[in-house]
Amino acid sequence: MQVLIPVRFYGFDSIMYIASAIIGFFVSYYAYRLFDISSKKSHFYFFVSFTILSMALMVIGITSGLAYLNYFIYHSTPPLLDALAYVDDFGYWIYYIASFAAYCLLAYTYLPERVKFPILIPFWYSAFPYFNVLSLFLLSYITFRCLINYVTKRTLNSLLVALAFTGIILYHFFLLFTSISTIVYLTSNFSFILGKFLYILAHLSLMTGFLSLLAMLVRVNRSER
Amino acid sequence: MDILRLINRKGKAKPTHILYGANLSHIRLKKYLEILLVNGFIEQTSEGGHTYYRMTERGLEFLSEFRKVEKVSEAFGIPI
Repeated sequence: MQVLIPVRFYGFDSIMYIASAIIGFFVSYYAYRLFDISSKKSHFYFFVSFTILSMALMVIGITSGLAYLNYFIYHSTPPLLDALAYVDDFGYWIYYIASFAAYCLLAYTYLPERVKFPILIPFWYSAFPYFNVLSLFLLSYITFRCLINYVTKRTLNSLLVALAFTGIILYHFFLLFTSISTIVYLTSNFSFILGKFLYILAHLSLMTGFLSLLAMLVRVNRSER
Repeated sequence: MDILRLINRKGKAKPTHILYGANLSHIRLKKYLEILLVNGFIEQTSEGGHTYYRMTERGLEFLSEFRKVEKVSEAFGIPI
């Protein structure tokens, strides 16, 4: 399976991953303060989930950036035996595993206290589309809970968080359609262009989601000055 | 937190005000006030023969930080 990445977008996705990671670390800081005050398990999971997610995004941002840098220096895709390509692949594996774990913990955080049970989802992340499907499954629940929270509270902050998770779920949704078989993209120009467009759209959704979280944190800080 | 919010709202508060305002028993009030005094969040003063409690700088900072964390947790729908 191949993911169609527009050449002109090379590097921008890495920057978006790193920016999202930094925002994620700010969220995990507040989650840590929350856990520090309450010492509740659910708050600990909330803290750990955002920390792991931010670390995952940072890793994929750096490794993909390194791969793109190699491309820009040599003006070609790295040869198969080039170690840098393997670093990029390794970065993606860490991202898949870590973000999957983060989404599991976050979904667990939103489970009601009296029905907490271990989340047993087949660890079937062996391929890119399966990872995105599993992420969609977990994020659907999280996004649904955040939307309910907004409908209940009707505050701008809760709306921003609901929008954030909507952006993240859309990221995984669009990415699902960027990986198409070689045969399809060789026979269909439309799929070829659509795949690239969806890749950009996916990353813009991710960035929008995390910027929404940043907006919420800025609002919270400003209101307490 | 209810005690801190009450004292902050009033500026200074007598023990009886806190007792009714925070809806606490006398024993619990005494216990919590001691904790807050030991941690430096409030200070005890005497004016006109009456005991008052006021917020300290540290207490105000803590309250501000707590409010931020509270707002973030509310935004995520994770009860504190």
